[in-house]
Amino acid sequence: MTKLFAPAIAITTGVLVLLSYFLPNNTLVGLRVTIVQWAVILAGAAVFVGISNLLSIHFKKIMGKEKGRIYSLLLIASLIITLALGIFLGTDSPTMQSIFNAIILPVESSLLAIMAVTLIYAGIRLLRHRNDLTAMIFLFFALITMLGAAPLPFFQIPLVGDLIRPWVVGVLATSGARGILLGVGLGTLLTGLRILIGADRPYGGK
Amino acid sequence: MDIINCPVCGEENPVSLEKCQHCNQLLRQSTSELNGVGKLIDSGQSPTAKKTSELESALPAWLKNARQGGSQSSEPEEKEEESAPVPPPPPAEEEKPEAIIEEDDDDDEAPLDWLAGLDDDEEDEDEAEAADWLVNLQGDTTVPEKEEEVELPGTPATDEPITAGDFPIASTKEDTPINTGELPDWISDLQEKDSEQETEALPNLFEEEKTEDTDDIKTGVLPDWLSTLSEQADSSPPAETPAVQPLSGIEADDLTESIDEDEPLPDWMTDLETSDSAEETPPTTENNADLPDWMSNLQETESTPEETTSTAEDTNALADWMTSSEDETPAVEEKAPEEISSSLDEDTPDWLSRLQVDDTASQEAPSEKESNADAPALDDTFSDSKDSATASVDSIADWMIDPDTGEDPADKNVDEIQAEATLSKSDDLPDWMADLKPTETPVEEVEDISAQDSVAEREASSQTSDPFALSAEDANEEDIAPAAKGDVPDWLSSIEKFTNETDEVDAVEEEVEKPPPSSTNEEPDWLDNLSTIDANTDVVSPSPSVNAAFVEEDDDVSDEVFGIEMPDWLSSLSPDDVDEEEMAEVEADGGDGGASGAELPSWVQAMRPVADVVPDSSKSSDENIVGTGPLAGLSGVLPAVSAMEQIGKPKAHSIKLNVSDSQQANAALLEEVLASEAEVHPFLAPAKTSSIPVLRWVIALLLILVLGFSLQSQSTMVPSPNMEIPEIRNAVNLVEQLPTGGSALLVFDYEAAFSGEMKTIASPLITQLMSRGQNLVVLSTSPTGSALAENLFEEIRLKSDYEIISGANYQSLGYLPGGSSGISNFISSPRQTIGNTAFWERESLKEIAALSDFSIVIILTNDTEKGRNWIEQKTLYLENNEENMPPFLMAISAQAEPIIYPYYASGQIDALISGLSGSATYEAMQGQEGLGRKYWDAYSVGLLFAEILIAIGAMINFLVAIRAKQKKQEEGK
Repeated sequence: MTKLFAPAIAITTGVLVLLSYFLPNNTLVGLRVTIVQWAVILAGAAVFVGISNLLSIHFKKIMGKEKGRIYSLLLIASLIITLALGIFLGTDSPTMQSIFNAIILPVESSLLAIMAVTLIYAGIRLLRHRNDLTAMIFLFFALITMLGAAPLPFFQIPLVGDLIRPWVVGVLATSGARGILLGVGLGTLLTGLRILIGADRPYGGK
Repeated sequence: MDIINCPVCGEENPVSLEKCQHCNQLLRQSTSELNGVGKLIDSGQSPTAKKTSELESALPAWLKNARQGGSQSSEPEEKEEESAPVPPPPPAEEEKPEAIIEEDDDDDEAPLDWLAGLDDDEEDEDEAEAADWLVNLQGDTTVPEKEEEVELPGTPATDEPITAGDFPIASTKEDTPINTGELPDWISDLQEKDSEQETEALPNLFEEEKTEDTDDIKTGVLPDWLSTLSEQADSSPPAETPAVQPLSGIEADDLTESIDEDEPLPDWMTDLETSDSAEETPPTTENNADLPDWMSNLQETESTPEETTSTAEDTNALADWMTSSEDETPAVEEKAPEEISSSLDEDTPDWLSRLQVDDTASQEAPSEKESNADAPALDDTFSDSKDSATASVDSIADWMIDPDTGEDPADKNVDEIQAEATLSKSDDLPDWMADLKPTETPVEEVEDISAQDSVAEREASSQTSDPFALSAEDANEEDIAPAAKGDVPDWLSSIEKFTNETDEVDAVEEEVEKPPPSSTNEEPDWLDNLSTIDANTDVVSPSPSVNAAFVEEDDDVSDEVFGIEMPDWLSSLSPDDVDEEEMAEVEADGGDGGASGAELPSWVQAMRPVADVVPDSSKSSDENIVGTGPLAGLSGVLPAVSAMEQIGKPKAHSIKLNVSDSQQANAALLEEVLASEAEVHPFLAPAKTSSIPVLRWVIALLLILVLGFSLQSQSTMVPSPNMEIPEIRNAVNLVEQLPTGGSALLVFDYEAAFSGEMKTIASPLITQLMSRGQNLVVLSTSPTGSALAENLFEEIRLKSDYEIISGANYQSLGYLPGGSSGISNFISSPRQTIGNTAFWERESLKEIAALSDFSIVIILTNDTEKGRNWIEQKTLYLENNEENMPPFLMAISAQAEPIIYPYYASGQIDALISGLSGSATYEAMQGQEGLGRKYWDAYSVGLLFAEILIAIGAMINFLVAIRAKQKKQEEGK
C-alpha cells in the first residue's frame, strides 16, 4: 500500500504545483500556495523531529557509557536549558540574546578564524605533499587573488589590484561559478522530473 | 521318353528314376563335389598330401587282420585267373619286382566286402580329391564345351592355347569313355552319347581296350572303376612291355610314327602331337580320374612306359593338360633332354615341368645301371614313380597295399623285402614326400665316394636341372631303408633320412637284414617311427659339409615338412652354385656348427645351413658367426657384446656452473638477506608525534599578533579603497533613492561565524537605511537570524546615533522555515506565510500585503545557496509584477561573490556588496569611516602576512619535497 500511496501523493503534488506555474489559474495557484504552506509547516516539524532525534542519540550514548558521552551530556544539557529559557523567557529576551552573543557567535566566529589559520597552513604544506603543476597553479592564483583583494601596506603592486584581480574574479571565477550554477540548475530540473515520474522516491516506498 | 544308363550295370532306365531298376544303384551321383567344394590346386603349387594311408593306423586290429587274411586267401586264385590272359612279361619286365605285379593283380580284383567301408571312405576321399581337380579342370570349362562338342564334334577342344597361368582344359573326347559310377551324370551321359563315335575316332590301341571294358561292364560284377582297373592290369603288360624298354629317341619317333599312321587321330590328339607329345600317352587311366591330379600327374610322368600304355584308354578321362603331360612322358624317353625341357616349358606349369624333368633324369639312370643285380635297377625316384604309378593304376588307396603284403618281411628274400619296402614306402609316403626322398642321396654319396665325386655327379645330374637325380646305388639303399623299418610310415622315414648322416646308412643296412620288430604289430606305427627318429637324431648330428653340399634338398624338405616357404633366392640355389673350393673348405672346417645342433630346434637346424651355402660376405667374416648359445652357428646376429664394448668412457661434464651476473647478484642478495635475518637488531622506539601542531600555533600566533597589532595601532598604512565599483555604486544609489518611511525587508541568512564580516558589510548599509527613515523588517531562513539581527542592531546602536528599537522601527518576522518553498511562499503571500495577524497589525506593517509593498529587499547572506534561492524565487515573482517589484540588493560575504556575482551581471539583482573591500568601498563612497576602514588595515596586513607565510612556506616545502625526492631517488639507486 505504501509503495503506491506515497508515490501517488508525491507525483500528484508535484504535477499540481508545476501546472500552477504554467497555467495561471487561481485555483491551481491557490492549491499550490496551500500545498507549499503545508510543506513549510512540515519543514518546521521536521526541525523539531531532528532535534528530538539528536536528543535520543546522545541520550543513548550517555546510557551506553560510550566514549565522549560527556559531550553528549553537555549537548543535551545546553539544549534543554536553551529550550527552557526560550519557552519561558521568549526568544527576544536579553538572556537569550546574551546566550547567543556569548556562546554561539564567538564559537562560530572562532571556528572560522581557525579555518583561516588552517588555510594558511594548507597553502604552506601544499607543495610538500603535492608539488605538481596543478598545485602550483592553484597556489599561484590564490596568492594573486589575495594580493588583489586588498592594497598592500606601504606599497602597491601595479596591475594586480587594478587589472589582474578583477579579471581573475570577474572572468575566471565568474565563468567557473556560472558553469557550476548551470550544472546545479540542470541537476535540479532532472531531479524534479525523476521525482514526478516516480523514478526517484526520496520519500521512501522503493 | 528319356533314358539314362545305369552307371553300374549299364542298363537303360527312365530318367525319372533315381535308382537303377536292375541293380538298384543310384543313377545320378551328386554333383556337389563339382561345385567348387575343395581346395584348388594352382599351377606351380606343390600339392598338399591327403594321405589316406594314415587312416590305416586308426583301423581296428580285427579289420587289419581281416584285410590281411582276405588278401592272402584271394591272392592264389587271382594269380591263377590272371595268369592265363596275361602274357608273360617281356624280358625287361622281369626286372620288375613280382610284388608289384602281384599288387597290380590284387588291385584289379573287386574290393572285398571287408573293404567296402574303407573303399567307400577311400572313394569319398578320392571323390573329394577328384572334385578338386574336376572343379578346377572340368567343372567350369568342360561342361559347356562338351555341350558344344556334342553339337560340333569336329571342333577340337584343344584348339585353345593353354597358357602357363591357365588351368588346362580337359578334352571332352577324353572324358567320355569314363564309365565309373563316381562321375557325375553329365559325364556318364556324355559317355553314352559319344562313346561309339569316340571309340571309332580313337586309335586301335584304345579301341581294343574299350571293347574289353564294355564286356566287363556288362558283367555287372564290379564297379566300373574297378573293372577298368582289372582290365588295365590285364591289358597293360602286353601293351606296355615294349614301352618299358628304355627307348632311344629314334625308336620313340618310329613308334609314334607307326601309331600315327594307323588311324587318323582326333583333334586333341593332333594337338598333342604338335606339342611334342607322343601317342603313347593315352596311358593312364580312368583310374586317374579318381586320383588327385597331382597324383596322377606323378604317376604318369614317373611311370614306366608299359604302364602308361596299359592305361591308355584312361587318358580319355584326363584333362588336356594331364594328357599333355602324359604324352610328354614318352617323349621324354624318346627325345633328348634338351627337347624335353623345351617342350615342357611351353605347355606345362613350372612345378610340373620340374617334376617331369626329374623323372626323365631318373629314367635315364636305370638305363645306365640295368646290370645292377641288387636293386631293381631303378632309381629311387624311378621306383617311387613306378610304385605310385601302380598305385594309381590300381586306383586304390595306398593303404590297401599293405594288407596285401601282409607277409612277414623276415620270411621274404631281399628282393621281396625291397619290393615291399618300395611298395609300402611309395604307398604310404605322400608323393610330395616321395619327391623329397632324393635328399638322402647326398648322405650316401658322402659315404661311398668323396665329396669331389659327389659334386661331380651332381653337376652331371644338374644338367637336366634335376637336383634329385640319384644313382642306382643310392636308390638301392633308399629302397632298403624303408623296408627295414617295417611299418614305419614313409613320410616319417623320409624325414628321418633327412637327418641321418653317413653312419646312419650303415645302421639302416643292418636293419634291412633284421626282421621287423615284433612290436610293430602291437604298437602303432607312428610310435615306432618316432622312436627311430629320436634315436637317429640323438646319435647323428648333421655334418655341415653335407648340409653345405646339399642345401637345396634340405631346404626343400624343410620347406615342405615344416611348411616354411623359403625365399626364391634360396630355393633357386642349388649345389651347383657352390664352388668346389668352398666345398672343400667347408669340409675341411669340420663341424663348426654341428656341436649344438642336437640341442637346437628343428627349424633352427633347417635354417642354419643356409648361411653356409650363401657365398656372401657374411661367410668371410667369422666374427659374425655366433659360437655359443642357442643361436650358435648363425650369422648376421647383432653383436650385442661388441656394441657394449663400443661404449667408451663416459663423457666428462664440467662441474663449473655457468652463472650470469644477474644470477650472481641475486644470489648475493639472498645471502645478505639470510645473513641479516641472523643478526639481532635493537628495538627502536617509534618517534613520538606531538599532538599539538606547532606550525599551526605559530601561524595563529603570528596572525593574532599582526592583526592585533594592526587593529590596535589604528594605522592608515593601507590606503582606503577608492575604486569605483559599479555594483557598489548601484547599492549606494538604490539606498539613496529609497522613499522615506518605507519598509525595507532585511533577510539575515548568514551564519554566526560570518557575523564579523557580515556586520562590517551590513553596518554601513543599515546605517544608510536608517538615515533614509526606513522601517526595518527582519526575516531569516536560519534559526539564528533573528539573534544575529539583534546583535547587529545592538552594535549599530552602540557605534551610531540611530536608535533601532524593536517594534518601533524594526520588526522581526522571525524564522521562515521551508527553504525555497518558504521563500517562494513568502514572496507570493507574506502575510499567509508568516501568519501572526497581530504582528501584521503593527503600524509599520499595516501597508504590507505582498512583497512589492517593501521599499527594498536586502539579502544578507554568506551562503550562495540561500542567496540563489532568494534570487530565483524573487525573479519568478517579479515576472508577473515587474513594475511593482522593489529593488533587490544583496550584501554577501567575499566567499559567495564568485557565485552570486553572475546574478548581478545578468541583472537579476540590482546591487551587490561583497566582502570587507566592498564594505570599505561602500563607506568610502558614502564618505564615512566605519568598521570597514577600521578593519581595512588589519585585513590588508593579515592578507599580506598570510601571503608571505604561504609563499615562503610553500617554497620551503617545495624544496623539502624536491630534496626528499632526490634523497629518495638516491636511496633507490
